[in-house]
Amino acid sequence: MSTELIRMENIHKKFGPIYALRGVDFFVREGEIVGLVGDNGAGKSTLVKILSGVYQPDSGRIYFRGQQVSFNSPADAIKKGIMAVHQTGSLIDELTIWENFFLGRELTWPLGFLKKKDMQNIARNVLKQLGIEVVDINQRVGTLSGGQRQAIAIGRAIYFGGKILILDEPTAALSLKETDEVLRYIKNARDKLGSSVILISHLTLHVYPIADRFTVLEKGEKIADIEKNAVSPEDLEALIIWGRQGMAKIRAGKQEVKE
Amino acid sequence: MQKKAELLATLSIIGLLCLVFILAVVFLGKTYTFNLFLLGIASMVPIALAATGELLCERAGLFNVGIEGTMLLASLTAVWGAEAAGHWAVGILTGLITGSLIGGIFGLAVTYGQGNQLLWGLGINLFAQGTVALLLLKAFKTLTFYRVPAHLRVPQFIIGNSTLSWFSLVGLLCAIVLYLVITKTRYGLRARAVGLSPFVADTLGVDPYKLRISAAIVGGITAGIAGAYMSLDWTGLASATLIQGRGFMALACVKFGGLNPLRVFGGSLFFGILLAAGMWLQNVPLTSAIMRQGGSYLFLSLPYIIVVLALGLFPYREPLAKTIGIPYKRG
Repeated sequence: MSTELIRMENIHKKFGPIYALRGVDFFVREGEIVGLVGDNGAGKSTLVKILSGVYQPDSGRIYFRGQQVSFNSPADAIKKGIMAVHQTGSLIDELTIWENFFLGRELTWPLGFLKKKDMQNIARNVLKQLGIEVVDINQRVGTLSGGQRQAIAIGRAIYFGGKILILDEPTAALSLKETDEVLRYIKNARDKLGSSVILISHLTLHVYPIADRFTVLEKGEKIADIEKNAVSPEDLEALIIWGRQGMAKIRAGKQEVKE
Repeated sequence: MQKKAELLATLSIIGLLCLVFILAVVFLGKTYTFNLFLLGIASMVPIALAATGELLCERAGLFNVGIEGTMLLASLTAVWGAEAAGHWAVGILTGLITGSLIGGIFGLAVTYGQGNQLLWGLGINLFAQGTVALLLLKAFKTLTFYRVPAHLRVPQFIIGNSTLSWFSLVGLLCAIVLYLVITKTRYGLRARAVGLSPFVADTLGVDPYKLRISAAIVGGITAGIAGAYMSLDWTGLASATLIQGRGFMALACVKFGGLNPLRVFGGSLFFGILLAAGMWLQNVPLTSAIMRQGGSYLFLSLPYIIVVLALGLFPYREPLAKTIGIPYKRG
């Protein structure tokens, strides 16, 4: 198997009296799409927010290519190529498409003046390659559909050379067609650029077709880490819904079949 | 709809200014009007300077009520600096440093400190009031005001039979530079983004804390220069009542200028001319009847009445910065 890119060990995180994560281990290999699944409140978002530098873990270690690292801010994580598209917002509605696309990595003339034309052209071309035709690159992002917005966020993460793309519920509020397209972008990013992808969802239907491996969380603990060929979509769903008992059921079921 | 309302508001201000101008020319003659206009520019400068800095703060999501106090404190330290070094330029620099220090403390307190911006702003104002009264007594041995020696005041150039400070050009320059910074540069884009959504900006590698602190420092610097202008340039006085709400007027300018630098500059020019008219109306034969009835207070309160009217009448705009006054907490 290919090498490990990221390893998180024994991650603990507490919000006030509530344990969000209790000793979670998590790893991502190079060029792999990991489905991080679990029901609402399982700690999926918290885990990736720690990985992308938004939260600090209470305890635990993070290794990047075998070296221990600590991310004090999202900027630190970005330097290592960890690009996150968070569920709580990844674009600013009031800014235009190209401003959103280049925010934080602007192209500038001396004295910090923006290279507006260049940025507009690049943004237009990148989006075109993803199959998104934008009528006007000066359009404000707030006027776009959910699928277009996700595509811009994903396209941006890919363009700026994300080694690891973290996508938190990228298909949550999308139509069936848009979901299909967004999943295609994600697969493209892996196949063409070899990026690793962490795909968060509570809908197995969305994750299952493109993921290589699943990490299942339940109430802040990891209850399973399975390769795709070792689990069926039904089993995975059972695992998410019933947690550990679900796993027991799966095992019981398999034994029954064997007998 | 909103564009229309904005246009209407802008046009009404321009129209009102033209009307005042025409009336003045007809009733007062050209030289009188010209002098009134120069006085208007002189009283515009501190408001324009403070407003441009505050504008940047608000775009980045900070609401600094403390610019009034910053101006007051800087006006005093500027006089002190000029006295100590014997040159007005050092005085301006002292005012600038005072402003940047206060701005920096405010910035740190409301970002890393998660402080309430309104309370910190009020705190700065109260601190300045008390400190200036104390320093006036200790350093200048006076309870009311201290007159700056003539050789320490900023040189003026003479136009006709009136004078104008080259500092008024600095005010205009500040507004233009800020307009360019906000709309055309990387820093401006990042500041706008932080004001709209600090979380998204943060996840894209723009540190909202550092950006807001830098904006607060710039705001403090412009307020500091405005204060230094008040004491060393325009009035030539150091006093605890020198600023007289000009910081708050700057806040009002930013609000109804809709966070647009050029419109904010226009607003400060409007207020400047109103303030000048208020001062001038006390000394003309036209109003002697009203003056005998205690009219000076009426005329002095005129600009403030119009501030309230303007704030009430101007159409509410879609905010260009959604998070003004709300502290950002990472995670």
